[in-house]
Amino acid sequence: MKKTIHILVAFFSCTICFSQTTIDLKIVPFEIENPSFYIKKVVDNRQEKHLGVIANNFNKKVQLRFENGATTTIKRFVDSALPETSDRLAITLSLKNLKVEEAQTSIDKRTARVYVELYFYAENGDELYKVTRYEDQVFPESDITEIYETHEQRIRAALEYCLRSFINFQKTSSTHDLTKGNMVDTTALYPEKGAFENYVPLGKWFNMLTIKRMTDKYNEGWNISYTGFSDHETDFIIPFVIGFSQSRAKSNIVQERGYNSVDSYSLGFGFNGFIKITPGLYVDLGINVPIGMELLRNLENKKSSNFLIGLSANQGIKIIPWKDSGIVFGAGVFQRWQTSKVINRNFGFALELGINF
Amino acid sequence: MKIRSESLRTSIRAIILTSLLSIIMSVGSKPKDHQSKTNMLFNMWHLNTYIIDGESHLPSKKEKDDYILFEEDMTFTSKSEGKVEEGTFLLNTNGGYVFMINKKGEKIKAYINSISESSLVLLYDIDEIRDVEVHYNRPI
Repeated sequence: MKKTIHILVAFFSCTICFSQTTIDLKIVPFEIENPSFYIKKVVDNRQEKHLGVIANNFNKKVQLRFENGATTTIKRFVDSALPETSDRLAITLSLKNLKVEEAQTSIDKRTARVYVELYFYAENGDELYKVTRYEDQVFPESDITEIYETHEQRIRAALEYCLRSFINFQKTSSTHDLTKGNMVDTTALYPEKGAFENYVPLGKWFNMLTIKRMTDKYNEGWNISYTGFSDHETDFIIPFVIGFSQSRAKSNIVQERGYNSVDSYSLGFGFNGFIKITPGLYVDLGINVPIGMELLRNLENKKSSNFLIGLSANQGIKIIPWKDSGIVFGAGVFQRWQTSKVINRNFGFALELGINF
Repeated sequence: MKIRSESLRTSIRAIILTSLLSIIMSVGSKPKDHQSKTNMLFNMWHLNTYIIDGESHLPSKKEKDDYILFEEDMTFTSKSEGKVEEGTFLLNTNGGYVFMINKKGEKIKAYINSISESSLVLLYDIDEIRDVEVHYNRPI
């Protein structure tokens, strides 16, 4: 029995492993004017020794690593711009973080990103400077090959930025009053010494297909919609939403207004926003312009139609318990004004159920 | 036999010398090539045309005299729809882009699609115009 459990554990742990692929950094010489230092040693202090899990040319998830290890690769890269000379200061570079990511960030765009966290130490071990850098690039959603082939370029760009940022820090700290010298104030281009951005993962893209049941004093209806959004920890999330809804007026109200039945069909366009409270829990706020048609049948059974346009607002919560795929729940209230012949204004409740994938 | 071995030695020397010379030249030429490309950027570039999906579009009347001037001290001056802006920029050689910040703190990243002595093609990292090639030229 114990053996079977071991085999099963081994089997499942293998199935969640990603195959590995390696990259190397091209050496593109870049000019640094009168550098006062060189990099004597690169130390790899990353917790995760791989670069990230990304899609390869065939859109298959692979784990990315440096072909010759991080220390050798980065040392070779920096040496091409900052060769060792006797008059230059020896600096130790500590790599605390280096992540390669990519994710869908809008309905038709994908963002590829590199995050790097570097510390610069003097020979006596004093910390001189630390810097973080996000290197982002946006691609059309279908450019899988282009994204995969340019990860190494973004790593180089991020490393170059960090080196230039350290050089800028050295210059500015040695010339306190910029106006006295002939120096251009470049402080806006580089972070200040104290400014240190903690790593925030690139937002995951959510696809949701949901059915909403809506009830108010005069109508009963449903709505089916697709929602796509890029997850953010702090920002106001603006999802892409397209939906179709149908509602039927409750019979007593309809008859009071001189109709036998009223059916309305509408498409909704507008802005919805999510605010992330905790992972999986979002406050859902929205303003929509429903446009559609109202089909009326009067007490003599005569048919007529009415163009519908209106304005609706909704407030609620959305619960997405499983990040990758699973069930989605939602609940909320809504207010609506529209050019209906039966009810112009109403207020109601909605319950939502669907899937994310 | 002696003559043959001497001519062989001469040929080997010639091959080694030529190889060494070509290695030295190739090693030396790369930074020079990069250096010249960096220097090429430090110029006044006049807006010439936009290319969208391979089709050329002329700038509007408002954009007639638009330009961008990159100075060696890493400052820039640009004229966009007649409006002049100044700021600082950094050139990221490995990323192949210029990152500009104007005096209001507004940031723009532009990828260098191609550069020569007389032409500069930029792709601005702005949602609405990401696929538009902005062609600048410089009268020589």
